[in-house]
Amino acid sequence: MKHSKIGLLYILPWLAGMLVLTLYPFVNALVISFTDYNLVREPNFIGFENYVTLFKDADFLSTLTATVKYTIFTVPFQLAFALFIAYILNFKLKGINFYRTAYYIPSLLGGNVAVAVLWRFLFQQEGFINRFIGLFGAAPIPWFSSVNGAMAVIVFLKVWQFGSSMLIFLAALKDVPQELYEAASVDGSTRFYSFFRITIPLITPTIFFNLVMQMVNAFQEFNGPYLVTGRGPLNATYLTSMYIYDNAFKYFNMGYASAASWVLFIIIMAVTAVLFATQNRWVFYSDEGN
Amino acid sequence: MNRLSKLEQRRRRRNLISAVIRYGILTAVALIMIYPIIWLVGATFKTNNEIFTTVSFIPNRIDFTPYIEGWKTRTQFTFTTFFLNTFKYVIPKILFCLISSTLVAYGFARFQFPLKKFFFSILMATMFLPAVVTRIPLYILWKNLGLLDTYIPLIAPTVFANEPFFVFMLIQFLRSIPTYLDEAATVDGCNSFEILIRILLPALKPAIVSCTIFQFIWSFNDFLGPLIYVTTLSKYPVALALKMSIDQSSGIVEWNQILAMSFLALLPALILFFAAQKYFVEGVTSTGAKG
Amino acid sequence: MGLRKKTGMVCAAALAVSLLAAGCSGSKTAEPVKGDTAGKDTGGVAELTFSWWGNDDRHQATQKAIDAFNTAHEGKIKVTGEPSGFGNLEETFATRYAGGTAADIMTVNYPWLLQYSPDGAGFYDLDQVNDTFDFSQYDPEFLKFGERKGKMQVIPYGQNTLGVYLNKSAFERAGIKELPKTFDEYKKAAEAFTKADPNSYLIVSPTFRFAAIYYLQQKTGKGEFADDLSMNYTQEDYKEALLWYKDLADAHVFCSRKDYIENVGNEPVSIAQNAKFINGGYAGVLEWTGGIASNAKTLSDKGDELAIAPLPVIEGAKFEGTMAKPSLTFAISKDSKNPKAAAEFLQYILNDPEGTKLMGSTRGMVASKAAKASLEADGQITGVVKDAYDFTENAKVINNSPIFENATFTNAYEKNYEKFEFGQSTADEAAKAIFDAISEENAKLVQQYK
Repeated sequence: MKHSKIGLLYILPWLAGMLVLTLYPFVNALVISFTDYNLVREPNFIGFENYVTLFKDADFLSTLTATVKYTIFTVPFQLAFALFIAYILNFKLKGINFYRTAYYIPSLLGGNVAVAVLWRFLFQQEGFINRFIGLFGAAPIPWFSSVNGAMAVIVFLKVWQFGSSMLIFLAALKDVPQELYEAASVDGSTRFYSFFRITIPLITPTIFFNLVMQMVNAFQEFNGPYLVTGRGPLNATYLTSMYIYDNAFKYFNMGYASAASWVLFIIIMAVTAVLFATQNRWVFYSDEGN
Repeated sequence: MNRLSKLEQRRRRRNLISAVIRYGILTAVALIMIYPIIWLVGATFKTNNEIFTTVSFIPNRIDFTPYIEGWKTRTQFTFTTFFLNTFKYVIPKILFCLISSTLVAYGFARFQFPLKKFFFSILMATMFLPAVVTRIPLYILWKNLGLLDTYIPLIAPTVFANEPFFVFMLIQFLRSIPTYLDEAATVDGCNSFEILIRILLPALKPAIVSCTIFQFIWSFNDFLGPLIYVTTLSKYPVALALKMSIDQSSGIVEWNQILAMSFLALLPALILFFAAQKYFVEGVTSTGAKG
Repeated sequence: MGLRKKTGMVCAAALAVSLLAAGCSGSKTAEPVKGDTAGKDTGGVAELTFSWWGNDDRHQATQKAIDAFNTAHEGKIKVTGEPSGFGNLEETFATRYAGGTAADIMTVNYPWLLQYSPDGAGFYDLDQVNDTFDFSQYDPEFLKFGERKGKMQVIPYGQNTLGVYLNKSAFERAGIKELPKTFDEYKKAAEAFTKADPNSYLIVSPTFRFAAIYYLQQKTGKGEFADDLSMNYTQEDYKEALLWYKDLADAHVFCSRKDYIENVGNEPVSIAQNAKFINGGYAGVLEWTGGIASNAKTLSDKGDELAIAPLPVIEGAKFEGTMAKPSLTFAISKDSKNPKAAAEFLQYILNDPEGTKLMGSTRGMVASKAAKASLEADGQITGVVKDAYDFTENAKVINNSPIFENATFTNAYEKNYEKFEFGQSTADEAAKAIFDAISEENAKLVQQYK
């Protein structure tokens, strides 16, 4: 590797952009959160008032609960599902490409508004899902107007998109040396046992990576609830990012919304920090170099 | 011998059973995964009544009227405008992203310079930084610059390589290219930029294809960005036009038109995916698993 | 794999750095919004934008008028339409207004006049173009709705009256020949309807607030707010309204909140294009007269007929009428580069025989005499539209206060009714919550506009 200041020149675009488009807004959000800025009036410094109001605001607190619920329902299921399917796919099977494609397509399309349109149709009162469960004699479920139903609709949408996590798991599983399984099989251990005793420990770094990424994403989810269920009954699917959006871009309470976004940010950081703190106990890195 | 072959038989039988189970699970799950999309395709040809009364995805007739009518929309614009609008920022995003990310990745992967570790850590940190926290100040920034309702706020981050995912992916890839090629070129009198263009760029091709595909799909699917920054109908991209069509008052009573347009909105990503599947999988895995 | 640990440290470092930097950065965002400097005509074609919201029929009619206007002004003025649906109206308008990207000619909801032009300078002063726009076609009293601090800010289009419109064909199919006149008759009708389809409802009130005020006006004889903007209803009144509506929702007369969320959504919107309304699952709607034409059209496309029901009267009513407000208003952006051309366009769509004919009745009743004459001459005031004119003329109304359409008020009604209906709060709690939220917002507004 060359020791040359010319490297700085190459990273200059990123550095400039990072300062203006990331660091400055990041800090500025904090500054704005201490004001009553609303785009029209001159901002006044109001100290911690926004934060104090936030923690008395029943709507905001309910969005935090809903967001945590959403995260708890989506992330573990998504990861477990992704890992399970990746595990099956990892056996040398014919047609693996077909299956891999099929599983990945939902993730590929997930962010598109069209998928939200589709989801609304599928879960309507007379929609496909209710017709389908009707075949088994079940009564139609009012998905959008029941507290649990509305949450389930957006959770399904997220879990349906387990493809990216699955691909990452699949790559990690490929790196697990085959001999280890063979050795275990000679020892007479069952597949079940070797999965939990050999496979899982070896891919804990990947599990950790996926866990952090999906968690950070789930805490910020916007498209699904915004497009499919709205706030839902009793704000069941009114997530914090929607609340921030409404306050910022609907009511133009920029100060208040910034404070809410910083609270969300700190929560995400805190959860991430907790995950990092626990990783010594359960994440095993094979080498410490790199 | 005899005993062994019995063992062997049992093992084979067991393998067969587990293969059947595996395929069974895989196929069932694959069907669940794909059925909504298949249903969507079928429903674009169905009447309202069919959509709400049948479970099967096979329509009674194939008729492209919903596509034609849906394309026209109820505004003075057609989906031609909305697709063109989308490409007006997707294509610049791809180009800028490739150029700037390659340069920055090259800087990080091949040079030693002061504060490099610090900068690299920042780069990684921004990858995990929740976008929600910078959204409001950015909006105010673009507003003060008088650039709301333009595509510039959407494109700008790519000009400055500020989508760290791509930089990181290219760094990972560059690290896997042996440095002796660069060294040989240096001996031949190439400067660092020439090395990048002549030696590394050809080797980077797979990574660049991955970047292109990801950037295309993510930009094409992006909803929140246009929702915040684009307000005029004539500038709407496909995402916003579709959102408008599902509003109660879009004026479209025939659902198949909305579904037909939804399907068309998914098509570019699908086509690209099938055309370049290999790069895709590499892209996802190289950034996720390693590092 | 030191990377992960590094990332954690970096996150913390970034946090620390930003906290330190916070002291010296920022506050530049505080700069006031500078509007685009409005220039003169650019010499060539004057390019104008016109924003409105509505349903399909309104979009199509307006687009026809724009096309005709553009053809007649080929090479001089070119208007581009910017239609939108009923969703997020205020949000869209506020974004564009605050962001300096508002259309040259914009549709303005009446209450926004007070919000965006409290000092009479929020929009272009229309008196500057009174040689182009013919104000004499309007009743001077009615035009006062558009003034703010003596400045002509917006042109009110017509009067909007809240009424009940029913799918007459659906009632006939249910065996009901005569449309109900009292809520007891509605209850009986609902029984007939639910026998055939247990999920059907007779009247959709897009928000609980419409029905509640309808009831409270009849009960107390007073509007929601007095002329001096103070509140007229008490907590006890709200409680009665909650119980009254819940009772009727349980009887399938008014659409329950639950069913509304399931089939329409959270927001109050026009249900003219709603599948359940079109299929007769909703047999009617409590809505402004401005929406009659759309509702009638989607039903007639299916072969059903919409009728204006006699205003139902509650028991012991002190007032046997409904509420009214100016419908839409039109304004020219104060940043418009071509206000003259914009006025010319407004003259065309509001007063010109040809333009008003093309615009039709998709925005409800017109107030311009010239417009009404041209519509009558063209035979457009017939059927349900004629009924609507008659209904508007005859209905007893209480005019809405300009602060009526504040989103906080509607939210207070809706949110707390929702909690009550879903069993999360008692009627007393819900009534208190509504009363408190409205009092708080009302106090703020009184302070602001006094």
